[in-house]
Amino acid sequence: MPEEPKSAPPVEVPEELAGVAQRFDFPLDLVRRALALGMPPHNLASQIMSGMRPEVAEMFIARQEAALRGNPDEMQAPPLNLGWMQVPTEWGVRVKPGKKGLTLGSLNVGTYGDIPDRWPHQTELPRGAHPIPGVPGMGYTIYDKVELWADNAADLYEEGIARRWRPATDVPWETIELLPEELERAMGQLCTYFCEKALLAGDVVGKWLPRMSYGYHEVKCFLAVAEMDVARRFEVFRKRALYNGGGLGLQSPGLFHRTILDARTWTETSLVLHVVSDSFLLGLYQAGEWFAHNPAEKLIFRRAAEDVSRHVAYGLAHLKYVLQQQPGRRAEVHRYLNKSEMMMIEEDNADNPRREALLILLGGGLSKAQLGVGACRLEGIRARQARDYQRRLEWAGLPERRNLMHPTLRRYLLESPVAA
Amino acid sequence: MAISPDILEKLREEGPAGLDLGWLDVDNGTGVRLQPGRRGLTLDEIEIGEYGEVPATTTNASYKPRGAVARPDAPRTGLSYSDRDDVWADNVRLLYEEAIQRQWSSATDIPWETIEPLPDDVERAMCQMCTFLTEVEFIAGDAPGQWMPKINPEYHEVKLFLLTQINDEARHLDVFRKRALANGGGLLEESVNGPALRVILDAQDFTEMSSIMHVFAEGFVQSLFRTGELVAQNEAEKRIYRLCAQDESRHVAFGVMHLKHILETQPWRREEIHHYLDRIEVPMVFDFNDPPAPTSFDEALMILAGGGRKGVDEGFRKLMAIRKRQVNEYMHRLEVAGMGDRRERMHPFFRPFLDPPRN
Amino acid sequence: MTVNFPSVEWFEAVKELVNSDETYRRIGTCDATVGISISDREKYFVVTFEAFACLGAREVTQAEAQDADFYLSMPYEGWKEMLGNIKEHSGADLGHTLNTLDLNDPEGVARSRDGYRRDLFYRFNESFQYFFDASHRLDTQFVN
Repeated sequence: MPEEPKSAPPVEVPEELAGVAQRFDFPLDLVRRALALGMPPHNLASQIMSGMRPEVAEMFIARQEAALRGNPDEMQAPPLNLGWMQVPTEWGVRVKPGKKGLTLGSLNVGTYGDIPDRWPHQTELPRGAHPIPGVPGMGYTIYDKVELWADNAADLYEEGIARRWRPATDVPWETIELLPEELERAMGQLCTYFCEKALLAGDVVGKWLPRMSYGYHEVKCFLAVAEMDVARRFEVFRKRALYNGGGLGLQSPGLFHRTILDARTWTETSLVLHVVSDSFLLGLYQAGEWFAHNPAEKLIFRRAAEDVSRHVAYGLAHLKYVLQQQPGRRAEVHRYLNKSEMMMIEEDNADNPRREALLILLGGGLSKAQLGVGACRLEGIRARQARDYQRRLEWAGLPERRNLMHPTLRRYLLESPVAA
Repeated sequence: MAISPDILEKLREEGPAGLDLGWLDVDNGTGVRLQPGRRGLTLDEIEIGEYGEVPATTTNASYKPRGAVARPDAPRTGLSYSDRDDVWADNVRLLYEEAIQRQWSSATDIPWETIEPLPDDVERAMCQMCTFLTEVEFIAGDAPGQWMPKINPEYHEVKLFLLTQINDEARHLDVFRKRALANGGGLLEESVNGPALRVILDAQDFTEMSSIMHVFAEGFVQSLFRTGELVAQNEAEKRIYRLCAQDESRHVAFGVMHLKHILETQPWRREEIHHYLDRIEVPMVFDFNDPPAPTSFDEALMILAGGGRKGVDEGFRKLMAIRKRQVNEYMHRLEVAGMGDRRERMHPFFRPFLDPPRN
Repeated sequence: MTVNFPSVEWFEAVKELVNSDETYRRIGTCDATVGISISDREKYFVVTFEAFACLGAREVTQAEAQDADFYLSMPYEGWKEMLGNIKEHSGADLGHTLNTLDLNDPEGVARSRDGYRRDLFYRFNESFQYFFDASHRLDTQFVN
């Protein structure tokens, strides 16, 4: 057994721990000092048995004791490695702010702008940083650029940040006056639907974010801002529904929710959520701005439309990228669109409250004549939604969707494509 | 006040085809017209009556928002926490509204033009620190994302707050990457500590995640940000740390109050939470075969705090002071949450830094 | 200040108003080229928005206007009505916002051959609305 130095602190060493120290030739002095610092005996025993070297323990314990004493003279920096200063990453980068400030996209210079088709790292290694061996993986599942990329992601991220708004204070709530009962109820019913859509989008994107590897931080950042957007949408539509005391309405049938949730890849998810669902949602926000009864509602629908149009833009750009990189997936994309369009229409047909709320809002009331006008205007909105949707798909590289679209939507398409 | 049933019936007979209008029979309103308060129209203002009653438990397994009328045929959309206490914090509405109000843009709200060339060792140290921060910040974005589907829509305030956190963390990832590439430097070495934070993603329970992430990890980072101004070399860096600390403070505040809520409503979970904190307090790296060397992050911080490589001893002393502050602020937060007993159980690595308890 | 509509000077005058307006800046960045089409008067313009400012306007051909990200197309009387309403109410009233006018027209007021670029009308709608609303501060003379 090693000789005990005279200056060892008077700490009792449990018998079992003493036995372990003896077996592994670990100085009792160090054992006592470690116990005095508060190390649990079982913890210490386990580390001794795992092969902790006494000189390593001494360095650590000495540092802790010095920290405890708080004597600045004792606090000397340990030997530094500084190998990190010389790692072979690109150095000398000086990105300057432009007209929109210092943007995320502007950082993509030199090697920092090399966005590989497959990200080879399982860790949180930032793109352009130097990897070190032995770092455990983080469990991402998306490593291929084609699975999530959109060329506009960085710009949309900055745009989302720049165009932030605050429902609590930016909306002129005091301009909302009491509406006739049916209009208020209809607005509450519509707002209920918008709240549901926002909740769903938040969950779906949240679920996929941790799966996306770090090499494509532009997409992760954009989706993070998109999460903020959906929070704001839920907030503002709930506030509107409750503002005049009318309350929320019926929940929606939820059929289309499942189509979004059931998607098995991010591309499928984005297609259903951003390209299909958000495209039609944008049309409803447009309609909302049209029948808005006061400046508050005008602003609410206008800003909500802005937010969701960024999501549509991402979805379209991602789809375009997929079709350019993997043209063989065209048929697969059509399958997803077939299913989503069908389920969306089935949901629309089953959601009488929403449809009727729109009739009332678009017609301006509950009289037979007003409902008739509302029905005509709703047809107009649906036509606009279908045509905008088709034009978006055309931009993304799916012009043939015009002939494959669900018949309920296809009937709204103009014979020949003209500007708007 | 319901719509006249006679009118509805007449419309069903004579109106556009397929009219039902049954939803108009349901009077789900509060009947109370709201008014914006001093902070505008906040969640506190609108959540009144039944809408403001956050149910202690729920059977809602769909996306029905709290207060909306349920449909019997709505499909389920997955399992989520059905008990409020598992996810709640009393300050969550306030924190959400604060997050919305206090958004900032790294592109335009940072005075990037105030950054001037620095000595090479200082610039490298700053870039290493930024490399670390841009690396680890988004764990705190991925983790809330992971938990979003598990928070029931009845507790939408918690969902809303987590959504703002995801946005905050993206901004942190972004701003530190920008700093690293704004002054003639670049990114440097991956962190050896960062992946240890994977324990946050490994969490199997919301409170486990929140204790580890909000209370411990973000608490330490918030303290670091607050002292970041000490090592900041220019107004841009000061502003970065100040704004990031502001964001981080909200996350910590949620974590502390959630922990408090758990200990008040589920006191039997105290030992369980101690176990979670035991796991995260274990040193990030311990290699038995090599001397415990400072990490690249620690070395960078020492250089920055010491004003350069030549001042590393002074930097080390300041690093120890930062550690002391981090540990004491962590302990204080735990005391606020009702876990003052953590003092005796804190990992030995941290305990030496603890100040004596306040009486 | 009296300015003739439609003219480059008119758009430039509005540009000066918004570029010195902190509220416009606070709305956020806006990046779009917007065509203005008053086809019954054969007057076409392009107004360029970039970052936090309006860069300016120029008179162009019909084809150039239609090549912008999107173009706002109304007959002269439509423009006159919208701007008159803006002047009267210090901003578009409920029935005269850009989006409302767009939906009132079966073919839409905001048009583009490009389904993606047309969406810029939605993405920056608040900025465009603010731009035209700012014209209430001008004394617009409608050229018959």
